[in-house]
Amino acid sequence: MPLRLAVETAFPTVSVALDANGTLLEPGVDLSARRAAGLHAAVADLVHQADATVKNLDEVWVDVGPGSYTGLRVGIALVRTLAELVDVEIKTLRSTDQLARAVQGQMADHADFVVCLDARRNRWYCARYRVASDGLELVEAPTCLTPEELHTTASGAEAVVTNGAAPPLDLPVIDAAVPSAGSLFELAHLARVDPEPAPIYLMAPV
Amino acid sequence: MLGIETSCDETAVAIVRNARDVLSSVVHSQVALHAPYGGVVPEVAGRSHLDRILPFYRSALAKAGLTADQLDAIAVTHRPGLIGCLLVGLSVAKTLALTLELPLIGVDHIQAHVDAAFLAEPESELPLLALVASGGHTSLYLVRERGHAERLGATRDDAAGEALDKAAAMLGLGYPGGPALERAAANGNRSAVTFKRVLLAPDSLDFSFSGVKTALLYHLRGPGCVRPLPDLDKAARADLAASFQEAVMDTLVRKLALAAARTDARTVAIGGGVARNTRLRELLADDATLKGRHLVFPPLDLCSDNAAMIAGLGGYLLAQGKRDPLALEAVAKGI
Repeated sequence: MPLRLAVETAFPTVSVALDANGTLLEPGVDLSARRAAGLHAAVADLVHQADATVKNLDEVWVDVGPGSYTGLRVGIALVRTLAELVDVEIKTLRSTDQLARAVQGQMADHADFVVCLDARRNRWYCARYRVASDGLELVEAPTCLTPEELHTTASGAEAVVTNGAAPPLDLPVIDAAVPSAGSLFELAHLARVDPEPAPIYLMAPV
Repeated sequence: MLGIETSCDETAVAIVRNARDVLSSVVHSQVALHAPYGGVVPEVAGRSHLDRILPFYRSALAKAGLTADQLDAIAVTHRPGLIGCLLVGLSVAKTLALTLELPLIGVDHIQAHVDAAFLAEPESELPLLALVASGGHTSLYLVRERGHAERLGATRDDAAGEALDKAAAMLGLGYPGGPALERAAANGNRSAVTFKRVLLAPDSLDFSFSGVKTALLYHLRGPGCVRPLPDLDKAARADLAASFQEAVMDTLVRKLALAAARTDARTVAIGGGVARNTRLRELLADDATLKGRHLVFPPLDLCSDNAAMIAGLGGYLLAQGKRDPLALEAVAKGI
């Protein structure tokens, strides 16, 4: 079994997890305090608990957004630097994948739904998913939309999933819990192998 | 010692041996990225740091002829600076320290500017009096023990470099303003306009540059800014640039001289981006109070933001036994 690290920094709550030979080690604490100052120490603690070092890692899974720009950069800088020094495979997932997974069990088979996150400046990050027979299907990748564009993308969807502010849509709202790093491992079919992960910004910096 | 600097708009990595020998120092300036906005945009800076930091890490190693396993420690700027920028460098530095199992040393960016004097001239005698002047900082420090600079005074409003940048913008000289103003000033008459030197109380070692900036604005637009900015010909712009630069540099020198007279400093040094200014260096070399003290003018690439100064001070602190935890924080404010 591979030794797999997961890093989640796209959301206001920051977490890491380690899959050590099938045993999920997750500190269960929010690492966002002091601008995620404890993130790297938490990684060190996890691999130590597994009687390993970061050099023993086989895979690193990371959420590349969209989400907190600064959070994404901290997590991705960690992952890229690890890959610079250790022969690891990097697997990336989207923050919207995480929220979609969190509510998948509440949706009917073949239901379409959108996942929306507040992008500020009156914009919304939005992705569309479908509950397929073999798992979650990404129908439309995340984009950054105005409220008007949001209506078009959400047309025909059965619900809107969010984490925080509700978007201006006339759909049932499902407020998903903040996802943890460990749940990234449950999204293998949506994960992409990416040796040089980059944040999904979707908006110009200014 | 590998050093990393990402506190503002320069991405820099350097390798320094024994806190004095610079084996490599690579710097990526983001000036071109920020020029369209007329100033540093933190989000633009943060994105660029992430894009550049690892290629520059590889470049620093290659230029030094080293591999990662030959490093002894990692030093990183953790204060002061733009938080989103500091965090990129910190994340890389922490991961290097964790993976390579090396000590991590957090370095104060301003302390490192002061310490650049020891990279330029390792035998500099203490106490050392330093002026650090840049777009974000203008302060005087006294160093009795290397790595422990005591602040004697600081600007109460604009930094010297910030005033130069804003004056350059008023004169239509472009961005970055400090170097543009200096180029324009080279052909101007520095006595054309006498801008008041704001020295605050006679014994104060603090600075204030907002007044001289406003004086230039009123000179151009009249008291209360009743006129639009005039169309200046090249000669008029040069004269104003030279006069304004003279006021700022003269103020810096007077304060440094006042501090020198009040301390037992044997060495006087300058650092920060404004320390690249040729007129400042001329005035310092000619100042009667400073004569008799050893003046250290670091090379230009050690004055503006760089990682050699981070690795240099980091190396010294390592030798003194300093170690920082992986939970080292980024802090916006410095000493």
